[in-house]
Amino acid sequence: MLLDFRYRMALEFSDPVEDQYFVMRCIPRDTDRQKLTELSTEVEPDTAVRSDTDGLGNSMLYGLIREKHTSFLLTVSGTVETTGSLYEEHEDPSAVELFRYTAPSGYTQPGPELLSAYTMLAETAPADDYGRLIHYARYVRDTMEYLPGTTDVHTTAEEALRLRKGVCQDYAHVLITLLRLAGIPARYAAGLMRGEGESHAWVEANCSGYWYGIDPTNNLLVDDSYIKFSHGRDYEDCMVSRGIFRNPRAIQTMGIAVSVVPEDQEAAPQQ
Amino acid sequence: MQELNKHVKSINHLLERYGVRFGIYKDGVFKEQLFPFDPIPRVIGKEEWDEIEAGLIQRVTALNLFLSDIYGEKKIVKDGVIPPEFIFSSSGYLTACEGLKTPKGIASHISGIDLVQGKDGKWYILEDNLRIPSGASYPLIARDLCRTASPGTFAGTHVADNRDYPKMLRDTMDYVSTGGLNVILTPGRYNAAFFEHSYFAEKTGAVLVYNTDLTVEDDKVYLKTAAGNQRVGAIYRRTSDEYLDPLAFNPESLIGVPGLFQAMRKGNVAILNAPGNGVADDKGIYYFVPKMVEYYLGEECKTNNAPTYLPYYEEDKKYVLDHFDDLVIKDVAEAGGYGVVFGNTLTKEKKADFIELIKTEPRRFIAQEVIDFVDLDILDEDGVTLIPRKADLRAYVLTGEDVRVWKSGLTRFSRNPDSFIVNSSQGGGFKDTWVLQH
Amino acid sequence: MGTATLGKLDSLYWLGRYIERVYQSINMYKSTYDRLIDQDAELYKGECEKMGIPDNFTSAQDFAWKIAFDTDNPLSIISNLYRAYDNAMVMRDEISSETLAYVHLALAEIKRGKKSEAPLMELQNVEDLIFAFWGCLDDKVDNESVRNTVKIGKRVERLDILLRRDADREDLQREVSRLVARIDTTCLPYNRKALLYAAAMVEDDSSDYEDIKKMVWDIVPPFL
Repeated sequence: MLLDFRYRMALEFSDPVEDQYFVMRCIPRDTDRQKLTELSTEVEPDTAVRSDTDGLGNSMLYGLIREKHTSFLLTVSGTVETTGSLYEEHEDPSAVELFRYTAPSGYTQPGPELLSAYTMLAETAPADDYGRLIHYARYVRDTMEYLPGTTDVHTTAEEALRLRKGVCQDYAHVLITLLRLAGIPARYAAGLMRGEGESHAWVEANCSGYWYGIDPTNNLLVDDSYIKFSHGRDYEDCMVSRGIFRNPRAIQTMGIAVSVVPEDQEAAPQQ
Repeated sequence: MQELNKHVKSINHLLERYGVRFGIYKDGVFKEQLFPFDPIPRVIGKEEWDEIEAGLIQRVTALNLFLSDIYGEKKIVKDGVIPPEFIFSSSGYLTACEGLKTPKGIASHISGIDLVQGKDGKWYILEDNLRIPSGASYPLIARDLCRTASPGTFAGTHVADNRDYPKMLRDTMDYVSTGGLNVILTPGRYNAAFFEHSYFAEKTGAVLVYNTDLTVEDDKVYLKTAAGNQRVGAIYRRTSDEYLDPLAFNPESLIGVPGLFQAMRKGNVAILNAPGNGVADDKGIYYFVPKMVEYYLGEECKTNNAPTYLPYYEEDKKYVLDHFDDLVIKDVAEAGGYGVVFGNTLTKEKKADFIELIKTEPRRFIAQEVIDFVDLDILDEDGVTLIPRKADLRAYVLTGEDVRVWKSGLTRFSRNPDSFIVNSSQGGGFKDTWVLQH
Repeated sequence: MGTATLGKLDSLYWLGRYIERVYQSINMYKSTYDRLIDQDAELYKGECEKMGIPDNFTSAQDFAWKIAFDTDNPLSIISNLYRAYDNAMVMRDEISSETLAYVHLALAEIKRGKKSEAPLMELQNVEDLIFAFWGCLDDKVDNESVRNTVKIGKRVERLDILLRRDADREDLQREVSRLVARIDTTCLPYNRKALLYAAAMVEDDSSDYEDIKKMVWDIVPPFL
């Protein structure tokens, strides 16, 4: 399916800022499940935008605005062809790379809450990895309540599960931690999804050499309506936007608008 | 040497004169204190040194090859020499450094290798420090001051002059520089090692800078001077990886330089030492260093590790649990003498808890035989009595065009007669280290 | 001075100011202290007024000790020496360890003076060390711009103190002309207009010292 996507980030500063550096991971990466066919980028105030790939192969856009300004607008839009495949093949035949995704990372250190959930789930878990993936994902979906504002970008999997609340990032972290406890390589994926007004996060788990995408927030398998920007061990590797600016007095407000529509349909009106 | 003891007062006076201090936080308050200096040097004979030197060159060469490999192809893991868990769960392993190519392929330019001499006369490696090993400035300035206070002591001793360290450091920076100024990046004057940062800047001619003095544009690093921006080619940074660049590492770092890491990835600046080196000086990886030497160099490892057990391996775990009281257990995530536990010092309850912890998190700990290391005499406060204390030696290995071991080193001793822990942050003192020429 | 950052210029400038402030304070202290011993116990009150020091002292003795050695009093000699030290120790690579050593020694000396029965002895040593500091700076620091930045600090400080103490116009004129002669050999950001006005004002007998003082403060405005 051909999907037109648009990711738009608007920053407003309460006081003029300068030396604003930004690093964005909001470019769909090419995988077995998706190919980027068109891309355009706009930044205001106008500045040279550089691009590169990071250590995990995720695309980055980055740049710098030296002059004083009070707002920043970045729009990335383009077209992605999704194949509808439910998995990606693992790229590294030696399997060493899989161990990157079995070790606990900053957000996915299991504590008592996760360990007891894992023990409890072990009693009913199917024997095969894929079966367990579905089993754990359902548990996360059933246990957690989707409640924006209860957690923030620093919330770990353990904290989120203790609260039993969170957003897609927390759902993903909890599921990843359970999978890693079970020895199943699991990674965090960030991107867009049809019908979702913000960027989204889900999980990819490696079962018998294939990376299956699963969206614990919506309890869905990741299909051709998802566009992946990046993957990594957890949120930290996949932050869609990172940045810093000079002026300690300035308070930043961020607005994100995204859209994903099949190419033959008209784009939803922009806010 | 006896001569030197008589001049302790003069030496201490000179140490004060030159502000040879290190900072310490006590109850959250920053204090500067003198680093207690003991005038009796550690003396290492030529033959003994030659052996140590050859071993260290080999070891650091292998460690540098390991770092290039681990952030590249990972052959050593693919070939089954090191289990991948030890790489990816190391807190020093940085995903951001994947694929990083360092200028001239060097990641650990300044390596501080800690050794102890056992009562069997053999030298053992305690740990490798490949991030920002500090301390070289102390024996460097101490030598200078001792020669001033007691010139007679040095007449006819054939002690290798150690005052070439700034030159070695400068050569290393020049060799890896991508063109431009050499700078020393300090986290600030409230850093424990600020004296060293400013002293090296003075002695190497590098510019001492704070994070806000540097700026990155078009993936190149510049020093902001009153007369405009000047290109920087090499940064001897004394800021830890985590805080180096808020765009690549800890986003909340206030002492970083935004864009610095990307400038390095683009090959536009050399950072000494490279970020990500923590994966090679991890206490868990230590066990594998002799295997690295064999793997990369095809040579037998010339340095001795202390006999080490990894509870990660079932066999080793069993040994550790059976011989718990004879071993020293180290938490791989801790540094600076913290997270070190001697099995025989624990109460019954604590021991049981600890054993449980090892069972649940085997990867987190290593266990080592307690090496009975030789004591060195230090001069007691009365200025006459000699008292024995535990001491280690940090040797400095600089990798530039060649791998060179500085003919000196920092000998640290514990103040406490029962303690094996010699870190300055835990109240120890230091000695000069003399390497004899013949 | 090719590689001077604004931060460095600021430290060098303030190093000069604080060293001079300590030096001048010791000189004033010496003459006041002498008279306080047995002549005029109330004398210190006038000193406080001139130098803008709040008079929280209980006696002449209290004043004499605190104004020299009280680290809790930001206007004491020791506090000013600490500030000189703060600026000097971050400039080791520019002013050399040798020059910096005199600041370390001065600090050690004034700390000894705290417990001394004859504090003028230690303060005299501090003064000697300040002379050595200037001599060493001239001798060991090749970079003229570095040296002169510290000296600009010294000149501005001295001018300020002279104005506070109602010095002769001749003295003021001498200091201002030294500033004018030297300031362009540094990279210090400064206000040329203020400097020229100040120069003109000290020549003009009708100008008011308060007004000159304000102009002097504007010569090197805070630039960080």
